[in-house]
Amino acid sequence: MSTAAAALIKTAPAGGYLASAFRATLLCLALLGLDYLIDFGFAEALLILAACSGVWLGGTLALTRLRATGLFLSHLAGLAVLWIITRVFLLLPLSGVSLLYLNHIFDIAMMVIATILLISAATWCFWKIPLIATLEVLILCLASIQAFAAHRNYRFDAAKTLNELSWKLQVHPLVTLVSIGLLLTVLIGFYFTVTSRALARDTRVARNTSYQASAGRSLPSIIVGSLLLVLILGTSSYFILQQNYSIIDSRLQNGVSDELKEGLSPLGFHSALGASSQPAALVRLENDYTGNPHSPMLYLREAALSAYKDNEMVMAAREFNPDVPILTPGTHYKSEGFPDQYERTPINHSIYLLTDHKLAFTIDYPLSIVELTTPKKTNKFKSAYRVYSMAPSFALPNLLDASVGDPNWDENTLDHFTDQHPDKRYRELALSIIGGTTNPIQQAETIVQYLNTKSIYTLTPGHEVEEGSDPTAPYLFGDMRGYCVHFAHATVYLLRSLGIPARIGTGYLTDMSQAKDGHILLRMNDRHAWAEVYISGYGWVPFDTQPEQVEVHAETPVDSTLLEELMGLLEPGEEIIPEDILADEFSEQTESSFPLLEANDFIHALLLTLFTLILAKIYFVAGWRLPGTAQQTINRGWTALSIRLADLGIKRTAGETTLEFIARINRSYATNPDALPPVLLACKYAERPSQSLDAIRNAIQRDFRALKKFPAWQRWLSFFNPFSLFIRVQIP
Amino acid sequence: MSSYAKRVSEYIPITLRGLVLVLFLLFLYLQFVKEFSDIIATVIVVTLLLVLFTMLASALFWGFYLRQRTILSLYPGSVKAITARVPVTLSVRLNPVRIPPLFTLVAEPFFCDQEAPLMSALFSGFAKKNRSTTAPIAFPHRGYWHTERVRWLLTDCFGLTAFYWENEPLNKSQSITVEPPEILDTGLPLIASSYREGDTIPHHTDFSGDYYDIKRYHPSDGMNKLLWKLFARSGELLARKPEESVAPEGQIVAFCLAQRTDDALAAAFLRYVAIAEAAEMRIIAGCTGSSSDTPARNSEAAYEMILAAAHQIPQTLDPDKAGNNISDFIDTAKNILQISKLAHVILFVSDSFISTPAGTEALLLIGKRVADAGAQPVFCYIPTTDSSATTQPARRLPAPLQTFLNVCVEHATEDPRTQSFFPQFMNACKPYGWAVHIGART
Repeated sequence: MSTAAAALIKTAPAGGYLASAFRATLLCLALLGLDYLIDFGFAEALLILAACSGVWLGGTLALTRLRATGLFLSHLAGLAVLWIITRVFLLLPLSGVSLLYLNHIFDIAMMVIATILLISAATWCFWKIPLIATLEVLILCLASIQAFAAHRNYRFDAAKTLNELSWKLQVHPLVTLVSIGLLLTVLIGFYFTVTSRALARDTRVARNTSYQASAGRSLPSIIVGSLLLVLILGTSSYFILQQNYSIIDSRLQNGVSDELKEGLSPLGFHSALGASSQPAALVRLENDYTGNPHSPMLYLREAALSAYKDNEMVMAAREFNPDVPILTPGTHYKSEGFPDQYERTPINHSIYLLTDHKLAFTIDYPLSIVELTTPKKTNKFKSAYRVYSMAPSFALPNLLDASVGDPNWDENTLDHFTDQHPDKRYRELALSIIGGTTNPIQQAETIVQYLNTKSIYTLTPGHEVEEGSDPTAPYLFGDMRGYCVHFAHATVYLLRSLGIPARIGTGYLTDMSQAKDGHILLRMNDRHAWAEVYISGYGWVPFDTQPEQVEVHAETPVDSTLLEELMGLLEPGEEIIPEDILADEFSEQTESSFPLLEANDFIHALLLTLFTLILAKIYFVAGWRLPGTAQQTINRGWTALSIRLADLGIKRTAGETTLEFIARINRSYATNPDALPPVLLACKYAERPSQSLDAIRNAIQRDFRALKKFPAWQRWLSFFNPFSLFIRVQIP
Repeated sequence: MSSYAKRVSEYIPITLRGLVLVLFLLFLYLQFVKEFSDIIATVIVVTLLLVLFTMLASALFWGFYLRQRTILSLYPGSVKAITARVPVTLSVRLNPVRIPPLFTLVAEPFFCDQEAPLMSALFSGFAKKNRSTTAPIAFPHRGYWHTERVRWLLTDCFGLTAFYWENEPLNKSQSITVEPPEILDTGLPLIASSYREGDTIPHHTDFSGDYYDIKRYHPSDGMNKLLWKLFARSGELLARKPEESVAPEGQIVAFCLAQRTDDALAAAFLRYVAIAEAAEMRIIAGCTGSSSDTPARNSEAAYEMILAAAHQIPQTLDPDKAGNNISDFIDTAKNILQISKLAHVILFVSDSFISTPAGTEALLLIGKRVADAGAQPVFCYIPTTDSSATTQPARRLPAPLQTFLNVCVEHATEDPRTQSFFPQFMNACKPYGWAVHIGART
């Protein structure tokens, strides 16, 4: 490089240093991220040091005349020398801890130096080959997308980190994902900007003799450009959210609560039921539930599907299932009558919903539901309600002697619950399963046992079901692969084929052993569908098929930290409500507390105030355009002009006359809003406007045009100054 | 590329980076958005596509708008003298045009026959008045430089789009004078184009008594040249060798064999001419690239000639053409001086010739042409680099090592200009009796 070129490079802008710093930061973040995933085994500070050193070394080498081959060979030689040194040191007569210690140090040194050399090679390419900068950022972008690959197909909670982040920020996981996407976009944009400046100015490599200088007022350009980018980012985000939210929302609540209408199924053979571990609700048992026959499992029913329609079970008319209130969570409910059933125990439980639900779910048999005030400490809870149920407390072995069906049922009801599937194969299979068993409870148990043994649990059964055909048949008469929806349907069809009244219960199935102090965290993958058989004197009892063979084990332990965090957000529990005051429960106004203002309220108030001020500003500035008398128009025009002048920092001082004020403006700012003042003064001294309304408006407009001598950005920005509203406008 | 295709490509102002980005977004869409409903990929695809299309549309719209309106003018500004290869700042002025946000307008003036722009100026943002900036520039060689055209580039800050056009600058006819570097003294003797043997005046910087300055006495040398002390010791009649006269006849015929970038040589030549003029000698000066019919007759004319000829010098000097040119120059000089024979013609040469064997051969060929024209060539060699380096023979590495170095390092072979074949050239001149002088760059 000639002396002249070197001298010029010294005068060149330092875009190269900015690009280097940005690259080093990105590399540090990437390495730390990688270290988080696959532990390198040495301190993060060393990684940062390696990244920075690599960027520096690569940049320095790019200034030399080294070719790619030279770079490769020199790097290879560096590594070889290091390796040889390592071997030589290991030949020293050391033993035991010293040897291990030395070995460890050399391993770390090798890793660090290899990282430095790798990064320096990448940096050398970055400075030598312009396209590398583009490829580099695109590879980083691809890596970032891959890092969040677990969230594809709308699975927002597959990775715990994102879930926790969303919970901490108290935003929807979708918003978190979109924000990450936007952040990546901004990073890509910034990287493009930095590198295009650096490589265009060529500050690191004397590739040509072109040097640059710049001129122009860039502030308005930057402001307008930033607004443009924000507009683009905002529009695209809105577009994405708008497009996807309805799908996502329904998928989050999928399986059980999509449909509320009679004759439709809230279940879906095509839905990804139970795929996500996103927290769905927090259940707090207000009293002990010791007699749970299914312990440690607990069923919370949401809906019951007892009618057969279009090859699947759907919701029937309300009178067939009086024990299942089909209600939205905020609705009050009182049971019309509790049947005289054996061995039930009262249980009072509160349910705090963490995601939107269309249907309230309860422990069987709900007698009353009242809405609770959502805890104010957080906005994580969507809604809350308290249920008073008579929960089953019988022993399962006792059921063997019971009969199925209710003697009080009329023929229509019995037919409804024993309505058989038209496919004869179900009955044939059922008969072959039960053999010679005659006891209906035993028959039911045998069928469930059969299905448990033969079935394979999978979330992706992969059956090709044509429209209008039975989706259960490919499972039961096919590969026996399926999930709870298949099992429940198959169980019900088989039981009904034997004349056993059965239906499908849907809701949540949770493991009480993971509960803490009576608090149960329900997750989306706790959603479940199961078969139920009506047993005389006991009511609807679950006969749940849970296969022994599991193809995909989606079960994950409950996040106890989250559970404790949520528990801390709840108000203290209440004692069980005695039955004698149950009647008054509807009038209960729960969880009233002193209405403290929160940060959100302040922000809302502030935004409201700002909005009001801006509206007021618009009124005062454009008010003269409204219909009015000439005098009113003059006054409004002068007010508007004074406010706009104040916006631009020109205020009338005390004792200054209108003409003096206008003269000062003209003198100081080379602008001349002098059309209105004479009209104003003429009006003042003549005590009535001397000009027509049109002439007055023209004068006002002319004065406003005079303000255009100020830069457009200044005029626009100053419009949002709320303080000018409070200036004292002196109307002569 | 056909003209139609070229025209189409003009209207799609996308850069390679933009194209790569489009392909990448397409890949993201097909691989992740469509297949897996990846939200992050969707955000990136939608946002970047919006940005890209906004930038493309803006580049097209503003490109056509600005193409009709941009006018650039270049001024030396406050710089009094511009020297070749020395960085200076030029004033660049753009008429009031509005440049869209996130876009930068790059102006690249092309000087004379330069293939690449020597400078560029960036403009951005809004402006209602002319805007000026100063841009650093280093002219590669002396001469009168004028701006032939300006290439404009409207590009966005992300480097995704680029809209090019060209037009002429406002002050195309004005040129910028770039001088060779100033040299105070070359240390070269003033060698007259003709002299009488024995009637010599020693050069003021020269010394006597050197062994090589002594020769056998010849009656034509004159009695005053006899070295009596040596005669007393050795018994031989010895006399001083005739030396170059300083200004016996007052005529100097000099020719500068300068390449385009031989600014030091040109400077030394001009200084030599100036010293000769100060010594009240007649000057006939020529240089490569200038017309041999109109040689310079004074230092001012030589200065004009050297600058004006700089851009006329071919990239590679043909020895035959140069020899012809010098022959014509000698004829013209004879006509001007009205003499039938020139004793000496001073040829200013630099490392452009001496640094390669072919150049050395070319010089010998030129020397022969001068000799054929009836004059004795006197070579004045002005080293481009440090004179001590030129006297050192170039060290060559073993061939395998040199090949290896060539593979690993750019320009691993020594710069030919740093090598010198000066000793070989001296030896080659000896048989012809041609004098060779080394000048200094002070």
